[in-house]
Formats: sequence, structure tokens, C-alpha cells
Amino acid sequence: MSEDARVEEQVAAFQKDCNLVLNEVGKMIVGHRDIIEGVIIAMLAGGNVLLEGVPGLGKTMLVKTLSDTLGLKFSRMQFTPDLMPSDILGTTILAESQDGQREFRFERGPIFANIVLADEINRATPKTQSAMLEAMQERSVTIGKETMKLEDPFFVLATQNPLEMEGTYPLPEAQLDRFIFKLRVLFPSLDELHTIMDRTTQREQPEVQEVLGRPRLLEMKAFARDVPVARHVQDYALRLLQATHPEHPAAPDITKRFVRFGSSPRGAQAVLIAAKVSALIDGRFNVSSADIRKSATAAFRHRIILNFEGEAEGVQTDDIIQKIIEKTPENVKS
Amino acid sequence: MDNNNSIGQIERLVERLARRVRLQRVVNALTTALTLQILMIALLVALATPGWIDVASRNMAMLATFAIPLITALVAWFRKVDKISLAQVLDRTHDLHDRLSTALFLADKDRNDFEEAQIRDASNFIKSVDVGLAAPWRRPAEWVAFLVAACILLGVGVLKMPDHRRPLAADIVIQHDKILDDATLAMERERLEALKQTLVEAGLEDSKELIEALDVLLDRAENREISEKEFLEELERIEKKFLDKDDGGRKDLAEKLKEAAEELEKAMGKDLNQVPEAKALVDALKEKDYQKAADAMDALAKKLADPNLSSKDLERLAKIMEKFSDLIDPNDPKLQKLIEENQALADKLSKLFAQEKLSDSEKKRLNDVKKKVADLNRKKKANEGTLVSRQLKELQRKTKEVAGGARKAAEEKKQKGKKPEDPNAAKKPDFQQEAGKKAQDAARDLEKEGKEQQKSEARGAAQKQLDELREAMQRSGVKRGESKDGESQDEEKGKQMKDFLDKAKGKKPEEGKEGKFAQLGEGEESKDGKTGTDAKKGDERKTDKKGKGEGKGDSEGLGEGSRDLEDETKLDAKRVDEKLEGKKGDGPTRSEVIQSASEEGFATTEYKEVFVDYESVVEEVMEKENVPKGYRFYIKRYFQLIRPQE
Repeated sequence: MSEDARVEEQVAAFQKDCNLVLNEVGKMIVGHRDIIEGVIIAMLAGGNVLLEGVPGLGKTMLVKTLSDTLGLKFSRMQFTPDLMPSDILGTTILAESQDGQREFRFERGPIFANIVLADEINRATPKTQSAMLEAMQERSVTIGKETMKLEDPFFVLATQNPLEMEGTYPLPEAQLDRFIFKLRVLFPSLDELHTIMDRTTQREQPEVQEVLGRPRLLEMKAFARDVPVARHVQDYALRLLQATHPEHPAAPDITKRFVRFGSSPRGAQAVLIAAKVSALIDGRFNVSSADIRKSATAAFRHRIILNFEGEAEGVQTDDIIQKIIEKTPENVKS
Repeated sequence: MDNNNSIGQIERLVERLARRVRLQRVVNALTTALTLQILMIALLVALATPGWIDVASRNMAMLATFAIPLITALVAWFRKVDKISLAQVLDRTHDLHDRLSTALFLADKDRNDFEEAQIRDASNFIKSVDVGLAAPWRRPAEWVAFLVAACILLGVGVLKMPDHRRPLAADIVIQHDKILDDATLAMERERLEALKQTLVEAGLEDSKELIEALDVLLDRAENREISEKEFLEELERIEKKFLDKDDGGRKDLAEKLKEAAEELEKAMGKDLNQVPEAKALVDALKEKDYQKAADAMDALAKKLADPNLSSKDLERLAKIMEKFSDLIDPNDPKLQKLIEENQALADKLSKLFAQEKLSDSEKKRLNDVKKKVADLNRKKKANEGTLVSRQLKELQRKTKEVAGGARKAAEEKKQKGKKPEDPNAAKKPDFQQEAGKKAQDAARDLEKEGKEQQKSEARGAAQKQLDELREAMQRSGVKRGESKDGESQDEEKGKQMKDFLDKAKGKKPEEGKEGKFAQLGEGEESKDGKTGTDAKKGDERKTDKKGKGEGKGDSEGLGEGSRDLEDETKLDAKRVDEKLEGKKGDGPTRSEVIQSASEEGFATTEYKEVFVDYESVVEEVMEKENVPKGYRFYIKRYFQLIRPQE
């Protein structure tokens, strides 16, 4: 098999493995195909995902199923106002060894896993939320003078309830920027609900198999970065980014009217890397404008900060992004 | 498959698309350009058909319009096309997810395995690409405009454009009210002819221009091109330009010479009778006729130069000329007398003032008298500088020299008679000849003055005509005010004239017309403030004085019609009525001639003769009598109306 042929096979294998994961997760999670795909894309892109949705929509189930499918270490943290950073990161305790000697030993927290589910992350205090920052961005944890690398892959999946705002601490912009995607989990349709009922109320519960190992996942993650992006496609992604900034001349009116701050360059990075994964999942060897558009909404929606008017009018960032996509041409040259 | 080959295929594909896009661009641009060109051609045709531009210019401009589609097509074809963009179009239209455009992008760079794989992947789709789908043939956006423009061109070619070369509408002619009726105009033209002759004869400068200006003015009045105000202004302008010239007091000069001549006749009547040439000179000066005076002076000069003239005659002539010279006073005698009287008074008062015998009021009077003397002296000085004064002085000097020469010649002749022939006689000055020459000089001066006088008279005649023209116009204006319908008034006048001429020929006027004529006569009189009653009174008084059956008062032509006469005029003062009787001459009086003419009719006498007779009488009366100006006008108009037709 030639080197080139190997690339084509790799692409095919990538596509196949992704489909395997999707199908396996699909056994447990009814519907939410785009959410599952979004989570897989984010994971392969090396990012973290913020899931937003009302309780009971299967967010936790999705993450758990995914970790089972991928054979990864999974930990779940329920964020509450009294949750302390040490509860997440871990703490040093005085322990007695087998030979009877006492020594200080670092007891790792739940952050030391491959997939971390931060449930209702906005219920924790900012202090606790910020404890997640280093882990999410640097993939490491510093306790005292000791910095410990987290095991790759490290993937944080945070959830938040958009309805119960009382007693919550909205995530700061800096932390939001650490999430590659913000996915909205919508209420399932009637057919999906029927399927959920059928699956969860019978004697035998579906079981998921591990379809991918950790090494394969890391291989896929690295392979995704090699997908070529043509300059005009990258240009399209960047023009979309510019259009989220109200002060930019190319920004559409809706941006100028309702947006306070546009997305950071991290948004464009997120779009491009997600688009690469997306292209591979689609079995392609290049990123297309459609891939850019596909990942733009999830990548930009939590990075665009509305102004007062936008908040007052109840404007959704998704609408703004949609308008930006409509108004931004794929190519500017004739 | 070699990736370079794949890239080549993609590039060829894009090139095909580029050609198609260029072609579409050319078609679109050509449609727009042709629309513009057609519109321009239509405009040129529209301009050339009626001649706004000539055919050669039109053809040149039409040729130039062909550059528009040519340039547009070239620009459209050669305008840069971005290959990547075209590849993107192919990707979009064939749902290739930027495969071709990415492959084209990667073509020019060092590629890794993944990128090579991408190009291979893209090449798999080349065969499925249909360029036509990416750039479907579209109808040019301007095709409707193109059709409309073509229709316009067709319309312009078929329809006849308005031609500006057709004769333009006539200029607006402002026609004013008629300010002079036809009869007045005819009269004025006739008089203008006469004036022309007078002016030419007088040798007046600008006479031709003056006549022309008046002629033009009358033409304009006749054509109603001029308003009453403009007419008067133009008259004033003509007057200022041609006639407003100072004659230097020539009238005064003539008057003074006349006075001198009369004085001379009184003083030396007998002597004058013995020298007919001097008598003729005096008579001419009395008549203020310089030409005659010059001729007489010339004759006198010849006489003076005559060697056979006796010393007695010479002496007589010298006496006459000396006297004449003395009588010619360049200074105003009245002014001189006034100065002397005032000076005497001033001296007397000054004397009393020196003796301090003057009251305050007398002192004031003294000042006033002094001032008056000073004023009179100033006036005298001013008079001395005038033309009259200079001329008189010159004439005085020359007559004195003539007299002196004559006297010397007379003495010389006397001496000659007593003494033997002097051998040096030839060397001595010939006083007689000298006097003759001086007389000739004086004759030349008089002749020159005569010419000037003639000019002045001609100018006066022209001035008179202008005055009369002005008055005629003003009178016509009064009538216009009475009746706006000027034409019907003219008609009326024509009828009146016809009636009058019929009457003059002895025919009876048509019934009713006489009354009308009479009524109009009354009306006209009343306009001048003279009522019909006043007129009748005048006639009655005249009848009383004349006697001789003229008291009927209703005879034809008096304008009274059949109306009864009013009572006699009652005078407040006591008076004695006297019946005046004129002396009968040899022939019939003028009134008798006129009377008899009216009684006997015109059967035997030519109307022209009668008219001339009437006119001359009237003119004589107008010259002698102080006839008011307004009446003069009507009299002249009347005679103008009854003038025999040539």
C-alpha cells in the first residue's frame, strides 16, 4: 500500500470509525444525531463542549455512553454552590503506609479522567469554575508546587440548565471561550420520545460496546489536523469571524445592532478544526465552505456577546450567526 | 493518475468556464453598449433630419458610436477572471464541497500526502462536471432596453421630425394706436417736401438727415410702430439734434439794422432819393432782406468806384454813410440810457451821502442803485461780446471807412478842380477806389449774413413744422380720447370730405348729411371752449358791422345749419353804435369775390383757382392777425382737407 493510498484508507477508516461510534451511541441515545456528532467532532478536534438543555434530556447519558463506547475513563461531577476546587482537582491527605509510616499523599480528584462531565457547571461558584480553566486549556493541574499532566485525551463536557437561573453563576467569557462548541440539546420529537419510552421501560436495557480504543482515538485526533484547507475556504471562515464584530465594515446590520463583542480568533480556530473533522467524517480530503458553515453556529454562539438591546429584544446568537452566514459570500473575487 | 495531469484537467475545465463567462459578459456588455449606441444614433438622426446638424457631422458621429460596443466588448472579454472563484462556482453547482477549488489552490504549492490525495479525490469528479450547468446561458438583463431603443430608432427614422428650417413665425409687431390721421400725414408729407426744398436752398447742414429723420418718423407713425409718447420724444430728439442751435441773435441784428435804416431815411430822406443805390440799401435793410441789401451795397460800391462820379455825389454818399455809421449802435441804447440814469442817481445819492444827508432808507436805495449800475454794466459787457454787437461794430467800422474814403475822394476831386494836374497823382492812393472796395467788403458781409439769415429762416421753418406736427399729434390724441374707434372716425372724415367736395362742385349734399356735418362743426368748436352760441354771436356782430345784406346768418357754409340766432349781446357799458363804412376801391373787395363765388357757384371758375384764392387770403390774414395757435391748426387742416386733388 502506497503512502497516498494509506491516506485514502485512513480517511475511509476515520469515517468508518466515526460512524461506528455514532451508531453505538445511537443505541442508547435516541435522536440528537447532530448533538452526538457535534460531541464527537469536538472530542476529535481536541476541544470541550458546553451542552445546554433542560434536565432529563439525556445529556449525562450521552457522555457516559460515549465514554463507554470509546473505552475511556469517565468521571462525573455535579456542580453545586458548595463544591470546592479541591473537590474537582483533588487534595493532599495524610495517609499511613503499609509499613506504618505516615506521609502526605495527593488524592486525585475527578478531573483526572479522559471524559469529565461537569454537570450543571453554572451552579458552582466562580472560584470552583475557574479551577476547571487550567485543566480545560492546558490539559494539566497544578496543586501546590506540583503540576500534573492530564491524560490525553482529556475532554470536558459541561452542561447547564438555561431555565433555572436563580442561584447560578453564569460562566465568565474567558471560560466560555475554552469550549470549542456550545451545543443546544432540544426536546425530542414525539417519535423519538416513543423510542425512548420503548427502550427504557422494557426488561432488557441496551448495552453499548467499546468500539474504539484510546490509541485509535488519539490517532484519529492527530489525523484530523492534516486535512488541507484551501486559502479561499479559510478566508471564508475568517470573514465569518469578522462579520461577528459590530465594528467591522463587513458586519451585517444585525451584528451592528445587537452584538457587543464578536468572537475571538479562538472561534475561527474552532471552526476550522471542527470543519476538518467534519470533512473527514464526510469522507472528504478537504475542508469545504459547507463544513465551515456547519461548525460556525456551534463555535460562535457562545462567543458572541449581545449588547443590552440584543438582550432586551431576546435576540438569539444563533439568529445572528445565521444572518452572518447568509450575508457573507463564499468568495469575494469575481 | 498523475496529479499534475489532474490539475491540468481541472485548469482546462476552469478555462472553459472562463471562456463561457467571458462570452456571457461580452454579450451582456454588448447589449448595453448597443442600446446606448442605438439611442445615440436615434438622437443623431433626430438632429440631422430637421437640420440641426449637417449630414457629414451626423455620419462622423454615427461612425464614432461604433467604438462604444467595440470597446465595451473588448473590456468585457479581457477583464480578469479569478480561476479559484470559477472553480468554486463549479464546486457549488455540482455539490463538490470545494474539491476542485481546493485542488486548484494546492496545485501551485508543495503538497503532502494528504494534499495529493485531495487532488486525486478532486480528479474523480472532473468527468461529472458540466460547465454549462455552472454558467448557464442567460438572456442579457438589458434586452428589453435594447428592444425599446431599436423601436425608438425605427420611430425616429419613420416619423418626420419637426423642421426648424421652416419659416419662423413672424415677429410680434406692436401696433400702437394711430397717432396721426391720414389727412394730417398727407399734409405733413407735402409740407416736408416743401421744407426739403427750403432747407436745400438755404444750404443748411444736416438738412438731408433732418428730412430723412422726419420722413422715418412719419412712416413709423403711419405704420403705427410708434406710440404717442415715443413720437413726441423722437420729435424732441430731432429738434435737439438738428434745430436747437443758437442763431447768435441774428434777429436782433436785423432789427437794429432796420431801426438804423428807418432813422437814416428820416434823417436823410432827400439825399437818399438822389442816390437810388443807397435808397435800395435802406429799403432792403428795412425789409430785413440781407440779400437785397448786399446787392444794393454792391451797386453802391460800383458807383463809388466810378471815376465819373462828381465830388458832390461823393460827398453826399459820404454823408449818408457817415450818418448810417453813426446810427448803427452796437450798444443797446436803452441799456445805455438806463445805465446813465442809474449812474446819475447813484452820483447824486453819493454826494448826499458824503454830506451825511441821507436817511437809512435812502442809504439802502443808494446801495441798490449801485448794485443795479454794476449789474447793468455787466450786462453791457456781456452784450458787447455777442455776435450782434460784433457784427454791428464791423459794419459800423466798414461804413465809416466807406464814408471816410468817399469824403477824401470828394475832397480830392475838389482839389483837382482847383489845382493843375499833379504829376505824382498816380502815386497817391485812390480814395474813391478804396471806398468802393470797402463798400464791396461790406456787401460781402451782408451777403454772408444773408445766407446765415436764410439758414436761420430755414431752421425756423423746420422748427415750425415740428411744432405743428407736435400739435397735430396732440390734437389727434384728443380726438382719439373722444372716440376710440379711430377707423370709423377716419371714415367719417372721408364722408365729410366727400360731402364738402360735392358741395364745392355745386351738388346738393345727401339728406341728413348736412346736419351731421353741422353738428360735427359745433362739436369741434365746443372742444376749444368756444360754444356754438359764442360763434353765432360773433357772426351776428360781424353782420351788424358789415351791413349789406349779410345779416341773414344762415347762409351755407357758416356751419350754423337752420338754428335760430340768439339775442343780441348785451353790453354793460353805455355805448354808441356806429355804422362803419369802408371805402370802395376800384375792383371788388376780397369778401365780394368770395361772396360772389359762393353765390354764383363754381361752374365757371376752376376749383383750383378758387382754392388758391381762398388759401392766399387766409394765409395773409393769419400772417397779419394775431390768430390763436389752436385756431391756426384748424384753419390749416381745413384747407388741407379741401385741397384740390391732383
